[in-house]
Amino acid sequence: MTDLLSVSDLTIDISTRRGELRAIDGVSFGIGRGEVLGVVGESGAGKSMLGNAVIGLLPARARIAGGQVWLDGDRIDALPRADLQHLRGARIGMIFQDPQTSLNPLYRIGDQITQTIRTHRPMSQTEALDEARRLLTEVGISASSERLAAYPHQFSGGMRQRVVIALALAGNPELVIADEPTTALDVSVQAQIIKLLKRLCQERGVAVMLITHDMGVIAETADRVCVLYAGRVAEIGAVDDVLARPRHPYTQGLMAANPTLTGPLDDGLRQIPGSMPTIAARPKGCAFHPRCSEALALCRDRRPPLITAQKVECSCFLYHQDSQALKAT
Amino acid sequence: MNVSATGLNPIVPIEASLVQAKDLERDFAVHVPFLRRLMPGFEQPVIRAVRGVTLAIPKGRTYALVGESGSGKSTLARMIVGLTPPSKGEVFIGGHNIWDPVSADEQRKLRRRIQMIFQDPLASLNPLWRVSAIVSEPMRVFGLMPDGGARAARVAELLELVGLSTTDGRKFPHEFSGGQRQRIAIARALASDPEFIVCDEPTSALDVSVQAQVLNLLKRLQKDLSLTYLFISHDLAVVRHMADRIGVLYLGELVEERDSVAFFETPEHPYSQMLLSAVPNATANSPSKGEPVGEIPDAASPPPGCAFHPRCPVAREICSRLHPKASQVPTGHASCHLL
Amino acid sequence: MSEASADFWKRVADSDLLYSFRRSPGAIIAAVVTLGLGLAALLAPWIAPHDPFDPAGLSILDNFLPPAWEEGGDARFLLGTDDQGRDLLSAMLYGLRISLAVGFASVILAMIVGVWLGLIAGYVGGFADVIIMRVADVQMTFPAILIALLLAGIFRGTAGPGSSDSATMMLLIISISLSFWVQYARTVRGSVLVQASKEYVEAARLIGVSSIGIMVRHILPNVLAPVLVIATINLALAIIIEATLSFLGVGVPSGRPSLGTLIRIGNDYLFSGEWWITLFPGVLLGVLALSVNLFGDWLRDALNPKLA
Repeated sequence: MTDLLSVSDLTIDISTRRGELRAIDGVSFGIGRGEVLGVVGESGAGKSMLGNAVIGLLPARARIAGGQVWLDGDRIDALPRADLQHLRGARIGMIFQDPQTSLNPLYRIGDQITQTIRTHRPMSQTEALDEARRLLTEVGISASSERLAAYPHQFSGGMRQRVVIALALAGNPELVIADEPTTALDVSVQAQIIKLLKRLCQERGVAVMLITHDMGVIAETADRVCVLYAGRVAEIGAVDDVLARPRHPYTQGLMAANPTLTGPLDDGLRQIPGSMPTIAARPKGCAFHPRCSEALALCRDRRPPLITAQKVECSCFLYHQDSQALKAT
Repeated sequence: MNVSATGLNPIVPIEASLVQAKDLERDFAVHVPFLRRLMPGFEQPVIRAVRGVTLAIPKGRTYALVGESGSGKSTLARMIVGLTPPSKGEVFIGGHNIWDPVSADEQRKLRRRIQMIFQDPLASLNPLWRVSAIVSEPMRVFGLMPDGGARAARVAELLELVGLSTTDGRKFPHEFSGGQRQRIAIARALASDPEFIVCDEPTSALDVSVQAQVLNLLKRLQKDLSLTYLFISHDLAVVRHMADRIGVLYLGELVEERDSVAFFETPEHPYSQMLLSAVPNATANSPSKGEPVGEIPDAASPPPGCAFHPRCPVAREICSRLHPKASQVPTGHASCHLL
Repeated sequence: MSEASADFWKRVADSDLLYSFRRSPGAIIAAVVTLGLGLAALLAPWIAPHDPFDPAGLSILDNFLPPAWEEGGDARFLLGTDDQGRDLLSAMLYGLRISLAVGFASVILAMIVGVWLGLIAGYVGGFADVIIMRVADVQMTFPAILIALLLAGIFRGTAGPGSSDSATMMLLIISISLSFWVQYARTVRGSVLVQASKEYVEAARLIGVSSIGIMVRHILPNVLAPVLVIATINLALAIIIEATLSFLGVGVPSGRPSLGTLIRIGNDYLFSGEWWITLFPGVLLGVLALSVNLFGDWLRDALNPKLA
């Protein structure tokens, strides 16, 4: 299967007064049609920057220093501005964290959707209006004229996020990038939005890049998961494989630190010491080694390559074929 | 007189508890444009943020308030800690009413016994103050350690207690990570030797791996210093790891109050059941049990009868008419017509 | 103590502000010019070739001498002399002194009044807020010049022409600062509303720190950055307003000419060919106002986190 979105060896640098800092360091992944890839990481891992790089929305001081991004056979990492604008909306839909700021408070819901439709697809106003009704129904909002004429503030938080999803789908995109789409929502609303995203992905066959810090959201939504740590891929594989038996010590720690509704309570939560290094202070070798309880001597100096360890790709020397020999050194 | 506002005997006799809140209510006036206020027949609309909440926390225990945004949990906490005056009701710490102190001296003594840890660790520390000044402020205000040397020693001791280095006192808040900032906030909260600490979503701004550190720290401190916690959170999984007793708030009302173990085994109120089923489970790709629907309504115009009935999967005709009374359930009470 | 100050200087050297300063040539030039003019004003009694206020040193015969390089110029008077035979360069240095002094004094006065009223309006709120901000609104509807003219008129009408120089100066400073305090009050009030809702203020309230204590120890230091920016930009404005008022004859007493007074004096003779009396003070005023303003612009950008 060829992937719809394919990112290979992507490297992003940020220029600061302390020089060039590497935010994303050789990240590769692919997403197939109808697949949800969860990109999970804690703050500082670079997950949002990864999403922004794919849609060409990097901040002014950041630049792609290496690697390629391909969308369905087209290279999109070095497009001119005008092509990028067509790309966003028409081929890639975006859902952001805060539905409050993703919608223009001064325009009616219906107008915002029809406008977006007509920007990207050749439709008359009446056709676009019909399409807008269809989209709203699709995301679970009864598409009465009253709803179309409403302003964003007349909607609740969950409803607004549904409208944002409808907007993301308005251009009939092949890929949807959802950056923390449920973080600003209450638990009971979050569950509904997760279900909606999953259904849309299956029905429309769009590829979804779901960026989140929440392992629970990944478990409920994603098919595959990519765990980022300090701008690098720690582990990538099918959700069932990764969550049931995490390979990388960081993923293991993350899973153990996550409080759950089941399981024993006696000895507290397992914790990972320390915190994610800032971009300016990333350690040499494996970026996780100062916090890793199983670190080997060579983890301090050498960067572990991504290797396949029982179906899952993982960048850790513990899974290296010579790991026994490496331990001895 | 161990009778709560619900007319039921709580499991823990209220008078034996360190912290007691009796029939707390808080209304907020909705802002209305000036001209509309002059219209004939104008009635000032009121949001009833908290309505008739009674709860008690025994010494050394953790009571968790659970609810979604708009449930009134922060308002309730602010009334209990002494930041927002209640419209009605009383709050007692060790038998003293904090909203009606006998003297200014008693008020100071009461304040010393209550502390709070806030949600945003960066916003809760003055950015221009050194950590040592931040941590020692309560001692200075309460006149606990007039001697500068003794105060510095106590600051170093507190920083070590929360897992920071003693030299961190000379740094500024922006030099720390989120988790370390929350440790500083905890050190400040401990500076006046309080018995009771309100933790308002103390880890919701933190990453998972750091959240575990802070939660474990709070538990260890509770054991070592026999602290009493009121723990506010929207995250049921976190609450399960922290709480002895749980109160579920919906539109300002305590709809269910139970011991933690019993609550997570058999939640009685349909809203509690919905909340539990909505928690995404990271351990396995298990499909959710229930189907959460709808959202918490606007507190300015709550639905009649049981406030939860429009979202309730098992609502009956009576639920839209009559406000349910609390019924006794194992280890606590829940307010639902079906119980 | 020395360790603490070494620590302080290390922090300054490492700060983003200094980094940004070193990388903006405009700001460096503006700062150097401002500093140079400030020093020249401060040292005027020592560096000025003549004392323009010493009647004994003046000779009416020296009046209207052109700059030294012009025909008929005198090497003793580099930039020429005015109608009373005063050395223009010396008069300008002393005038600069007065202009800067009036500017600084009125900005500091406006800052003190405005910051306090803003703090009270923002933190106390309620009735105090309504009163202070309505007064500010009314104040904003009058141009600064109008207020100053009005005040000067009232003062002269009540005190009579024989009022002392220092009283006139005080009046000038008060009337200029009166048009500035509103900006400080509004900015501070807005910042206070933001800061007061932050949790560190709640934490202080929780342990019973008094309102005054919270305002002074917690909130005030955190709202000073925008105040500093306004003060710098206002300094340029205050200097211009003072010059305008002096030009109109309601400014500093004519016995102690400021730059504006010199321009007015020169204006009377502009068409009779004595251009230098107006031109040199005018250029100096322009350079001063421009450099202070440029420095203020840079400070505003450097302290604005949104642009960083």
